[in-house]
Amino acid sequence: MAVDARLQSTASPGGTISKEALAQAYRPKRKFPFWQVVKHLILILFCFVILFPLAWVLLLSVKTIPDANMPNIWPATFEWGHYSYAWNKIPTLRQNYANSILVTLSTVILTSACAVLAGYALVFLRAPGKAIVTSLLVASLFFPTRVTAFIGIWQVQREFGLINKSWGLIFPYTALGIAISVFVMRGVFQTVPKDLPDSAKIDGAGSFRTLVSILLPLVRNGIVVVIIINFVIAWGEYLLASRLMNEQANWTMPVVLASASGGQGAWAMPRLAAVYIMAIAPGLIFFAIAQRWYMKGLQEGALKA
Amino acid sequence: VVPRLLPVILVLVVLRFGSAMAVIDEYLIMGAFNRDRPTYTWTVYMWETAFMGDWRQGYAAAIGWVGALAMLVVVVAMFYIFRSRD
Repeated sequence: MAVDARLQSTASPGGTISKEALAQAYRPKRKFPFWQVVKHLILILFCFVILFPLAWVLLLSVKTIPDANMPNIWPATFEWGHYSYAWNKIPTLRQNYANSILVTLSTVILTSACAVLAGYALVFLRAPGKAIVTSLLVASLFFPTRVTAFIGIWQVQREFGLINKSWGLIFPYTALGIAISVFVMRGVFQTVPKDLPDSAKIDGAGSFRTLVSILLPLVRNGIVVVIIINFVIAWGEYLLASRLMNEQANWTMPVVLASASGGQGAWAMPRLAAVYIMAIAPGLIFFAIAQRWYMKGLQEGALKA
Repeated sequence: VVPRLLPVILVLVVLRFGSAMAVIDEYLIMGAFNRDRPTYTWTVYMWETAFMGDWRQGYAAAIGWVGALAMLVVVVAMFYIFRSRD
């Protein structure tokens, strides 16, 4: 059975089976698949590199405070009180959480909407200066926009009076994410055959109707990729959030996390770890829900140039 | 195989170079602003000029552009090194 399948896959297009294919299919299999084992070991090693710090922090957050200074990784006794301690001890934490969620959600929605419209226009509509816009977007990916534009962003925000207003972060975050998002959406729209919008046009659909009823279902997975990219950008952004927000009530979660170690006196490590887990939990949950479509979107070529 | 992969390697190297040269978050969180420390990079210098002491923002913006242009030179060199040799 297995040999048959292998023959099928190596058969030449004409249907005849070449001698080489036969020889390959009937070659005795090696007993010990050495390279398979090596490959898996490498993959497991990289998974470990990613997962070990996460697991370590998670376990640290349920250790008792004296136990946290011990070299053992597994906690001697489980102590769940650090979460409630951190939640109650940082008076603005609820507000910070709400800020993070508001800013991230708005950024994701705004950027995705702009990216879908822009990608559609860049691929299917006859817009003037398409090539210029595309090359500028690509160039900005190769350029440290975030750092170079930082002082400019600060001054613009000050002119508009958006300093210390947490919803004011939505606009710079959208600007940060828009280049890569438009680029991804453009790549996704390019995988759609051009005949589809053309036939929709013949049937009398306007360009907006074509986008909403024909193309949006086709690029669904690409949109999930864009949403996740922007979620990561907006949820984890530290630089702008720390500089543009001066009062603790307006901070987002990364700033709270960074200042919990230095700003408010030295916190015990398990409590810090508890804050950390609370800060990353929404991202983990979100990605766990969305990763099915994300992987599909990647396979469909969302990140191809 | 490697010559065929050069364009892909170019994109990866350039993107990685861009993000690595412009690192600032980590340095701001973990002890910057001390000129003797190896964490005092040009981005931290820019930040300090712009938002501490005299708040010399114009000067800091110029630092940012000089740094960005220097990176651009390296990127152009990379485009030359990784050019396709067909």
